[in-house]
Amino acid sequence: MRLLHTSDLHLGRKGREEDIWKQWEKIVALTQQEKVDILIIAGDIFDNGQAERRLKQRFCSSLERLTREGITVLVIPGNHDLRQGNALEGIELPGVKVAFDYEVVILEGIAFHLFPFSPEITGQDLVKIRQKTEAKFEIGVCHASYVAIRDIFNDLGDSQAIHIPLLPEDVKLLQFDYLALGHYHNAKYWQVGKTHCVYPGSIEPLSFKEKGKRQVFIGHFSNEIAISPIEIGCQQSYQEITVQIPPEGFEGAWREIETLPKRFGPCFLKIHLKGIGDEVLVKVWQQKVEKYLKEQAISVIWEDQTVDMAWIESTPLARQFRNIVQKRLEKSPQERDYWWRVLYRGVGCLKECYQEAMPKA
Amino acid sequence: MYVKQISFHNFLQFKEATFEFSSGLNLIYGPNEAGKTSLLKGIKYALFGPKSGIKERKATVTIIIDHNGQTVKAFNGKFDPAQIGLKIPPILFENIFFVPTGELDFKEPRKFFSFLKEKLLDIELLVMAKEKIRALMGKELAPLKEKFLKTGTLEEEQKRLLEKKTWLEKQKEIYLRIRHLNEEVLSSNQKAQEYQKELKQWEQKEATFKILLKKKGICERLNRCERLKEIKQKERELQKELAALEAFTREEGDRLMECQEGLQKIHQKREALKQALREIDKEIEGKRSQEERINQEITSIELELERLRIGLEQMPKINKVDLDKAKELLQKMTLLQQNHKEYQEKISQEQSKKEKLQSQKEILTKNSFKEKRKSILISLILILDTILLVATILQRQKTVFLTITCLLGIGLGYLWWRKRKHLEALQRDLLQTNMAYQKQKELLEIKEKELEKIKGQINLCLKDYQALCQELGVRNAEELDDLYGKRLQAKLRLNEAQRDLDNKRRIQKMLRDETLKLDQRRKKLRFEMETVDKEEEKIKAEIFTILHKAGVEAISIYHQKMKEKEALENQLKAYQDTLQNENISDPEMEIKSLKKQMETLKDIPDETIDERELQTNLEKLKIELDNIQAYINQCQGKLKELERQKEMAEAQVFNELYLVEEELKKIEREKEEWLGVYQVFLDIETEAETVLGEILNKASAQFAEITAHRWQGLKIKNGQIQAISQSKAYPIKALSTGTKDQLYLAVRLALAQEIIPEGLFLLLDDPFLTWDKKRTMKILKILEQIASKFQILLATKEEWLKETLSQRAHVINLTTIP
Repeated sequence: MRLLHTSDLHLGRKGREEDIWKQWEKIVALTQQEKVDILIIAGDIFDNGQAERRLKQRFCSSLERLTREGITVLVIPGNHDLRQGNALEGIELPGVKVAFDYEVVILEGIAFHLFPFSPEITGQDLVKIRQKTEAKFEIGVCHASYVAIRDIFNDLGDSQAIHIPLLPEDVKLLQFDYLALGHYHNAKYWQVGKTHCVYPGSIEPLSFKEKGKRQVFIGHFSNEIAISPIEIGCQQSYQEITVQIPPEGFEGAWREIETLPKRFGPCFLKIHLKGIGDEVLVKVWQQKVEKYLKEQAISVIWEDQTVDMAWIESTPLARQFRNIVQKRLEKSPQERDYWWRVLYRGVGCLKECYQEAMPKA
Repeated sequence: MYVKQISFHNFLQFKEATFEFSSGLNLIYGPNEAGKTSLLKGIKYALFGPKSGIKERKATVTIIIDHNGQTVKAFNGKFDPAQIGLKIPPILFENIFFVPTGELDFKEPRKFFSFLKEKLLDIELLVMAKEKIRALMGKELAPLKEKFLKTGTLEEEQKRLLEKKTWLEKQKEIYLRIRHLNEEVLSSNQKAQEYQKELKQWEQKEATFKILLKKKGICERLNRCERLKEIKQKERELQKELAALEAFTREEGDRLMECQEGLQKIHQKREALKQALREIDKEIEGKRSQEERINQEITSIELELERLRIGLEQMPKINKVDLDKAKELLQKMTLLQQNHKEYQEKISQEQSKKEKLQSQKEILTKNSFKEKRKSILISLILILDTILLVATILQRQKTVFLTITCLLGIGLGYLWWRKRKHLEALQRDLLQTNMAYQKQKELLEIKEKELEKIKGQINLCLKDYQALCQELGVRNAEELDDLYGKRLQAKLRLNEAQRDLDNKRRIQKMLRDETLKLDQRRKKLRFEMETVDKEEEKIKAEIFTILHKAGVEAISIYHQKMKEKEALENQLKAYQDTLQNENISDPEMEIKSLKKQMETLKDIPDETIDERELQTNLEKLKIELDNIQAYINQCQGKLKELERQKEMAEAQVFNELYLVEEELKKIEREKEEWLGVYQVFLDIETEAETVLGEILNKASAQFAEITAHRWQGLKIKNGQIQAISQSKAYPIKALSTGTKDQLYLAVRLALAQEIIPEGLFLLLDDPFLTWDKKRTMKILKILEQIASKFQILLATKEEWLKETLSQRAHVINLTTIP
């Protein structure tokens, strides 16, 4: 028996609708190619509970294509599906199982435990409600947060999206052979005891945190269990770079900007701009870069970390400050980053004070 | 940079006036109230306007400044100071560049340098920034490394977040523990099930074991019954055998034993009696021979006795008294003879003494005669001499001769006197000796009379003795003594023989008595012998009757039979005991029923089960089960407790925890950065202090110069300026007014050069009022030196100064102006 495990489609994400759909089409095609028996979607099919009807229909028809070939589709709702409504209502078709309550589906001697999403429950509750079966293999499907891995904890914590916290003890008690997870957007595969745990990740990068390869997982269950990932590529990636304005001016930095389209292709690009420069000139240069990259299908998000040079020059104390920092930097170049931050902070502080003092004067 | 021109309009006493200055040293000369100070104030007003502190509403003062060849116009404070690089506030200008009097206008000299520091730095901004950091970081920031952030916004925030973090982690821990406990409960339950399964197996085993135990019991009982059956059979046989031996009884057996013993005793007794008889016979024999011997001895002694008695009667009869008398007389005689002898000796002694005295008397007489002779001779010579002397005196002879004769006369007189004395002594001795001799003679006569008496006594005794010897018929006393001894011996021998005879006779009697006693004992023993024989006869008859009754020939056979019988009886008793002990009344019946029971248990295999192992395993498993159950209960109790401790939904705990951790990290980084910023601020201040040091050095050098090295320099102690002279530091207060002014001017000049190194203008309003000429000349020299950079406007009313500088300075004479 073969299964394909994916999750976090986020169909209908504003501005990314077509990119995501293309990725979904890839998966559908892959499901057919890989001759799998079962497709598992572990939550977050839609980006929110009030998905457009047209999108739903489109999705249903793609599912139908699979069921027609005898592929069973097992779906559980994720937090996004249930946000402000229920996007999965009415997509149940023959051959498609959507679990709104805990259910055990036994197919070809394998038990599928479908845990739907609920914001109140935790990993312990899953243990409590799990039923016993006599099946040869037992597979759990769940939209949960495995917080024992630091990356997952950090990324989900960042967006305050830790739902159904799941810990190794829970996984041990659940005693599944395979735990098909959803919710975390980067692919992760690890083992707890006999349990193979898998987050396939989102099918298309949706934020700067989603940087790894996009993958779905194929599980082969015969006498043994074999798990293998398949890369599905992406439409638009999220990238981050740091650009340092060189002392000679913006020209040096521009040369670096020109290499970016080749390096990343169409993508979302976050540029951390560092250095000392005239405020106005920096703004003008940023606009120029934005315009250039837009033409190359790169959307730029700025992280402006420059310091206004003119102000420093005109303020004796700020000048003195800069000079001292420069001296310190010469003494300990390995602390460059730190002193750079100190300079920002110090100059910022002085400027703030200066502005506070000005009205009084 | 210098002031090129100044124009006044309605300023103090100037209605309309314009003055021109040169770039170097300018001297403004004028008496009091000529407007020297007003002119200098005008420059200040033009630069700072009303900010300078001068209130002149209608006035207009315009100055034209030459700044590196560029002309800048300033009036009433209206101009861009940055244009000429004049970036100092009015107060600083007032104090350093404009010197109306000698005094520095800093109210408290102590604060001088802190004030100065403030002026050197953009201190307001710096203080603000520092305050800001302090507010963020905490109060004690100065010693950065040690006192690390005590209180402050960031610190408080951090603390709050840390508390929250701890709380959240505790919550998280609760969830973790709940999970762990659940896992424990589950695994423990599984284990408990396993144990229960095992326990069941062992319990089954136990059941089989019990059945086996029953089977075994039946088998054993069966065996026992069969054995009992056999015993009963044997019992019957034994009883038959015993019946055959009925004639042999215990009592008679015992009696036979007694008889046998009695016979033995009798035999022994007889032997003893025979022995005793033999011994007595022997003894009697011994006694008889002894008696005979003694009888013979008695006869011989009697014969001897007779012979002795005859001997005694033949001997003369001498008695003891006579013998003693004779002896006494002899003794007395010897004694007297001895006395006699002694007296004779004494008399001879006295005789010798008498002779001695006689010889002495003769000697003495002879001597006295001699002496008499001598004395007569001497007296003759003396007479002669006297005559001579008289003659001499009469003839009136020479004195020498007279003297000699005189001396001779004296010597002779002395000699004669001595001889006379000697003669007297001799006469006395002779008299004494004569008396002693007479006495001795008398004594001798008495002794001789006594000796005569003793001789008479001896003769008397001899007579008596001789009479006695004649009477007794013996020659002398020795013979008498011998005879008396012989008679005494004979008597003694007779008495001895008599005593011997008495002894023997007593022994003879004793022997006769003993023999009699022995005879009696012999008789008694013979009688005993007879009774013993009788008893033997009796016992032998009894034995015969018993044996005859049992029909056996010998006692030993009887005993053998008895033993056999006893053994049989014992066996029988043992059988009967076993039968009685077993509570099986009828073994045969029971055998039947047990066999039936065995029939049903026939199919049970005969397994070997170790009972101990079975029991220990059962117990062990039960304990394990109990333990596990207790552990599960414990876990569940803990779980309940933990459930109660939950205060926040688990998902929220994790979300919040993440936030708090992030926030903490950010704060940590921010703190670090702020520390850096603060450090930089401190660095800036340190740099400013270095500059201050340089200023001080310069001021110090100039002060020494002005005072012609009367003072060596300056130093700062506790923020206060002190002047040094001969390695001693003096506070400003201790200085004279002139020196004080000189010190302040030196400091001012140094400051001016540091603050605006490019140069400015110095306004000096008669600063040398208190100075002597020498020092004034010195300062003028210095001023001329720096005049290339600093335009100097020196106002004075001293004429000598005007005259001294008239050639070297541009002079503005205010007296010429109405």
